[in-house]
Amino acid sequence: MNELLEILKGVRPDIDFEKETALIDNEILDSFDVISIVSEVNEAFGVEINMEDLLPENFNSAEAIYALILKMQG
Amino acid sequence: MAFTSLGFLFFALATVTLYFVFPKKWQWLVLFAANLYFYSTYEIRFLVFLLAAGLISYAAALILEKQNRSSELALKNAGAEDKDRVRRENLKRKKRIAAIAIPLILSSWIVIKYGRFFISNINALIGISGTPGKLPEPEWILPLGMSFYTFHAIAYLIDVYRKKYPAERNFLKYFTFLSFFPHMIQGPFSRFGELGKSIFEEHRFSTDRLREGSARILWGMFKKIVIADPLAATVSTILGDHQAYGGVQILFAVFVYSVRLYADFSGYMDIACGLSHILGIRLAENFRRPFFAKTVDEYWRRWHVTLGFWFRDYVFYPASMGKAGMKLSKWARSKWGPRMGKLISGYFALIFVWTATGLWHGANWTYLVWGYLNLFVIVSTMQLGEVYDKITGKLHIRRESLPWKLFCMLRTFLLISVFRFFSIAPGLKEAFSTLGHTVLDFRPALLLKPSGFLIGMYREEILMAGAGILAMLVVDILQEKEKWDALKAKVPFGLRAFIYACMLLMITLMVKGADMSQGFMYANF
Repeated sequence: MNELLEILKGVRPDIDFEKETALIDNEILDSFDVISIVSEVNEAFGVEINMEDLLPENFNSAEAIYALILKMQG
Repeated sequence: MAFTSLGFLFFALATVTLYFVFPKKWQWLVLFAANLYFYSTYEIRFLVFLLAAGLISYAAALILEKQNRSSELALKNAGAEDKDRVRRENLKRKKRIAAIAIPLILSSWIVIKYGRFFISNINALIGISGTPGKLPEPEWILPLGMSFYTFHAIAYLIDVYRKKYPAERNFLKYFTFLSFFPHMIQGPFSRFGELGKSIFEEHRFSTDRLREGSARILWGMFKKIVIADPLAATVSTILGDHQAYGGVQILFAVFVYSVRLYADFSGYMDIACGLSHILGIRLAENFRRPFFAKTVDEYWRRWHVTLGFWFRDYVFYPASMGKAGMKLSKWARSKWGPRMGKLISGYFALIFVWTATGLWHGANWTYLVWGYLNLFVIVSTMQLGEVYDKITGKLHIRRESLPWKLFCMLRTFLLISVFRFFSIAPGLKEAFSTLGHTVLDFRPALLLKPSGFLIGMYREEILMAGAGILAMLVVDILQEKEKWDALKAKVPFGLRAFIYACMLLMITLMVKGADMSQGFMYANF
């Protein structure tokens, strides 16, 4: 989780990712942020997040993103 | 049947009445019939294109759904070493289905909308090469709503492909969504997962919804008939003969065009959302006070919002997250550092988004230039973001101060309006000629003569449209400050009735005949 938080802070240092739970619903992250996160997460965790996973519920919080990574790692 | 015609008002009244008289379980059938009737009032023969788009997307979605289910079953039964292979095979099959269905859905729209553009460019090339003879240029009429329902059908198909929701089994239900009359002519771009759910829920009649929805319909009609329609005369008079006017007058006409387009398009949306609200159906919003945008990028997150969402989900993400986008990102990161690595795949995807956005608005080089101008400013703003931060910091500019915000809003409005020189002009030659004339023959002294601006409008029209624009601005400011709903609730019944009566009176005074108004501008796209 710490590694993910580092990635997220690297993309958007102005967001408190430990508190935010509506990153997509409240349009806190924009589409450029989302593709940056996907690209860095894919590389750091060796997963392949694809279009089917680009759902608001998977990106609304750091925890949701982490749960997606764990799910993809099987 | 225009949304602002008397006929539409009777049709809407009959639809609402029948909708709530019918047993709740079958309410959607009233909409199905209303959709067909509404479409048939334009050109019934064009129904065949809508039906074809519906049938292809419906059948392909069912096949994709079947593929999704069989893949899930195979994954359950597969051993750990086989799972990847099963996933890859499933993806391959799904891609094959989508690769057949999507071009099929798009084909008639592309041929009808872009056929003439394509052939005229071939003819131009033939002319340049000196070869005798020309290909005949077709004069096809784009069927009503085709640019919208084609995109609805594709979105539905891709969403099922991505397993966002299951395919609809009942064709009549799916067709009711696809042909839903409030979003047929000008959108919004709806998603089956949201609008479909809302359409097929059972709805009770609500007097609150009737009151709120009717007020919004009235507001939409007011924007269209009192503001948008009278402004058309000024725009067409000045831009139709730009050589006769000074640059300052032309620029003013382009500003007026921007305001007119907003009143026209958002007015339509108010009528569509208001009517849907009466029925208990939630239609996606398309506008978030676009003229308060401080950058061009922000403007596009406030103007025609659902078109932006469509391109984000079905063009931007696939292009930026695809193999080419990701490779480009890695390459840029190793060459120019993490910042460019982050931005480059997005820029790459934006080229597709703005090419598509430009062409979606019209089959003309002018729309492509218009799209690329937007792209250039958006990319430049992002690319120079750090430099901009440094400059404003060194100049001690308080970016949260009202004067700076106002400056940014005016700058954005000016940029968007200048881009419109291209979207308004019939051709590139005319666009550059108008732009050149505006700059080279600006005639600022005309500013001292206000009568030289609102040309082609009667005094009464100027007064009423002016009052309408002021009212629209006040409502937008209050909505932007999130004070509108609270204020509305506080307005006593008498004052509310008086305001509605005034609006109705102004609409009645502006109405010219049974059609009540001109056609909506975005219906032409």
